[in-house]
Amino acid sequence: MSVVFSWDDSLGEGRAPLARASGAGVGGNDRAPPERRTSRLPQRYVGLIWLMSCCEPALAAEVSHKAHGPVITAMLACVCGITLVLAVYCIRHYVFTLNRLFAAQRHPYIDVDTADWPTLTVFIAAHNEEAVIKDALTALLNADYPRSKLQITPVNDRSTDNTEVIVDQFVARYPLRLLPFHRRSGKPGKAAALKDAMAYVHSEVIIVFDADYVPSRGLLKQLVAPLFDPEVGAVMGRVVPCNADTNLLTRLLDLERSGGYQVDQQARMNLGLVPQYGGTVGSVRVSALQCVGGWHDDVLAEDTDLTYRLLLAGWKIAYQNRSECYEEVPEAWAVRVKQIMRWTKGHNQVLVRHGRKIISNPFLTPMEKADAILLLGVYAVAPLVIIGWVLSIGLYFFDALPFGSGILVAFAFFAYSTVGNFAAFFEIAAAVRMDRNRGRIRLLPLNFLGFLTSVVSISRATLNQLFWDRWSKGGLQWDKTVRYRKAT
Amino acid sequence: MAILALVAITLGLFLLSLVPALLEIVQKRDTAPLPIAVDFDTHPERFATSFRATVARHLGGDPRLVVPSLVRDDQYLHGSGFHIVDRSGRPRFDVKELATQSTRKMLLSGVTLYLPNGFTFEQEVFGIADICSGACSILRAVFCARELRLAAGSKVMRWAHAMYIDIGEHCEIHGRASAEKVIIIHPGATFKRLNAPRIAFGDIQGAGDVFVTDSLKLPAAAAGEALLNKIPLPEGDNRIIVDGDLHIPAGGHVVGDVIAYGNLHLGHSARIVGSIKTHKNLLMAARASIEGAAVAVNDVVVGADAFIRGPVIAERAIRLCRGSRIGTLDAQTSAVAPVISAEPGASAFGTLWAREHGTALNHSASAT
Repeated sequence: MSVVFSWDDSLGEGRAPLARASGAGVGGNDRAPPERRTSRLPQRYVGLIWLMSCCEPALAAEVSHKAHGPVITAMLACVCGITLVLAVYCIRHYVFTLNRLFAAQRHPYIDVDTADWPTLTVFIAAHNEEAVIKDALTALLNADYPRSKLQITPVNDRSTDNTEVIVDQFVARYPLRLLPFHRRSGKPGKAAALKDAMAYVHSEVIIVFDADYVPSRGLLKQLVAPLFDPEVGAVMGRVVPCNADTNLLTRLLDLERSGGYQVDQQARMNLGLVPQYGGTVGSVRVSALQCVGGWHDDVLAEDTDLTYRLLLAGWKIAYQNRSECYEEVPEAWAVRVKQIMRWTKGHNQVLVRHGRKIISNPFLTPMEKADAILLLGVYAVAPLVIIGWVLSIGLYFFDALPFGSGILVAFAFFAYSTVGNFAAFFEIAAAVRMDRNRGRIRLLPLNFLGFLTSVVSISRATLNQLFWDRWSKGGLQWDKTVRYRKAT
Repeated sequence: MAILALVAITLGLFLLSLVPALLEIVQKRDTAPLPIAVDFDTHPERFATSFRATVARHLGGDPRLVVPSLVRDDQYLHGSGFHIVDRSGRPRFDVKELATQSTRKMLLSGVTLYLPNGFTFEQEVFGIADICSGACSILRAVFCARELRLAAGSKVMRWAHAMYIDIGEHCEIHGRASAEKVIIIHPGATFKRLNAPRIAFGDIQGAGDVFVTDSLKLPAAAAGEALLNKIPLPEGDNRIIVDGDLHIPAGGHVVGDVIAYGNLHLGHSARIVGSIKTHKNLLMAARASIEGAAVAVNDVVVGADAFIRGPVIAERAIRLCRGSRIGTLDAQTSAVAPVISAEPGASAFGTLWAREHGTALNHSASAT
């Protein structure tokens, strides 16, 4: 293969090339023979090519042969950058999983069983929850917490079904233990409802449950115990799908939840990084909440937003892996897509609002800062994966991929990102084994379906957020998650 | 044809990895949600309460009322499955049990029960009066309505509950011990989880009531120099966060929650009215006090006659020096760490939970 360098970008004028490789002659015709393609390299790239030729002559020859200018270089740089980002997340997930498998585990607060417990308000967020709210109220009335310090407040947010009737029936039976908040107007959404309800809170701690949750007897104390630590502003427990056996989607989500909580959250707790407050099955210190401005109702992911506001103000989030509570996961793909699109938009909102403040924050260690940024960037990775696919395909057809055969590089990239970052699968598998489940690990390859759906949904949500939502009313729109449990 | 075959093989190999998944979808062998014990709570007397209820159910009434009427001159097997100990209070064993020095009988006693030395009791023991174990005996679990005395070298494998518990020297409590009034634990004994309104190391004399230092209370400014490197906080946040080590001088007085990213040292009679968190070690000199919780990523050392209202949480170890106090009778609390050691004269009100190892130190091991 011969190569012709050209300093001049006007070969079409019939000027002879300035240099030629051995064995190559100058042809009389204007069109170069197929094996002697000219390369229109700007001058600054020639130095790089020369350097490469000293180290790897064949490689240099190939690159210069295939280069078609800055466009290709830019595409290459993007692909390398995207691969680097994915590699960082891959390493992160591997670190988390290996930490859970082999390192010391931190559960510093779990053994606090006797204490002068703080006053506590438990919110049950309810919008048309007639099917499930009775179970939540019954469970909370049975909770192991000093009665004189516990207030249970169902937040009935503009329900149009029998939620209010059911709540009032419970209040009539337990007048001293339940203090309902019936909200009949106002901005829609859980955050807005909680914001309004906070005006009636006089306790030191609040816990928020969704109405479909059924907390165990000891859960309240477990979620409050970490708040004896004056640095902790919020606590997160573990949610466990109760409808995992419904269909393939719920089984896949059950696996994802296992990985996310059993490994991801707990590893971040072990490593002193940034566990995330999830908005339910979690407690918040009221004074911390007030310090950071209370609930914000202009974000889609109010839990993520609160996590970062607390972090930036010097509070920490504690994760309690053994504080478990059942929840319902979506049983239909359409519902799942809506859920993940909302999470995406919410996360991206938080990324824009708080991302830059993390860098210079005096309360965070360098590792915390790195993890905080990576956590916020999770939903930005999916569009990058798609962009990487497109670029790789383009580079392949341009025959512009370096390092040997283009097909190999493309394959490597696809294998890496198509499998969805193998480390995530490792994480899920480790989590499922730690949960002492075995058979469901066989479903692991099918998580590819979930990841693919997520990649597309997240990318779609990001695109909508960037280009469409500004001119439509689709920005801050809360879609109530469908409930599947029948009333008991 | 070759290409088709290659494609088919590739597809087959790809699908091969999905076969277990497809089988699982069809067979549904592992679909149940992760089990969560909805009635679970961390109450220290959980096992004892459950056992007492079981006994009451088998006897058909409150054991305190039923058992005295069951005691006879001879030991016998009651229909409930318990062996009712006779009036002497000394259980009788058959030849095989005497040879092996172990019994599988569930013992029920209506009088003060005297257990022999060196015996292993593989089932629960229930007494509505006092129970005195023999030296080096091994008990699976014991419920005593009055005073439980564990003689030197005894072991409790699962749980023990009584009104009063006296844990002798070099005893081993492998599970939990809970008392309705007092636990006294003598030097050399080891424990995991203790719970009582009062827990005294050494003797009951040391288990005094709340102790708050009130001597040499310097004004807050005396501690101000120690807070020079505190990080400014947003409006409304009353915490004090110090980047690095923090030393509160003798007699210093700080009001508010304190967080130190380094070590936190409280000088003699220093006082913090609030909770503290240190990212390293908490060292309290004699007579220092913390009117709140104390959390340390590493160790907590509570000096002689020092006081922490609680809870106390350390991710490595807690050391209670003589005369130190955790909690009060009216505000019982928890002290939790993988390792807890306590000198004679230390006391706690509430729970001491050593996940790995708890020790009652001897005088000779005292650091101060």
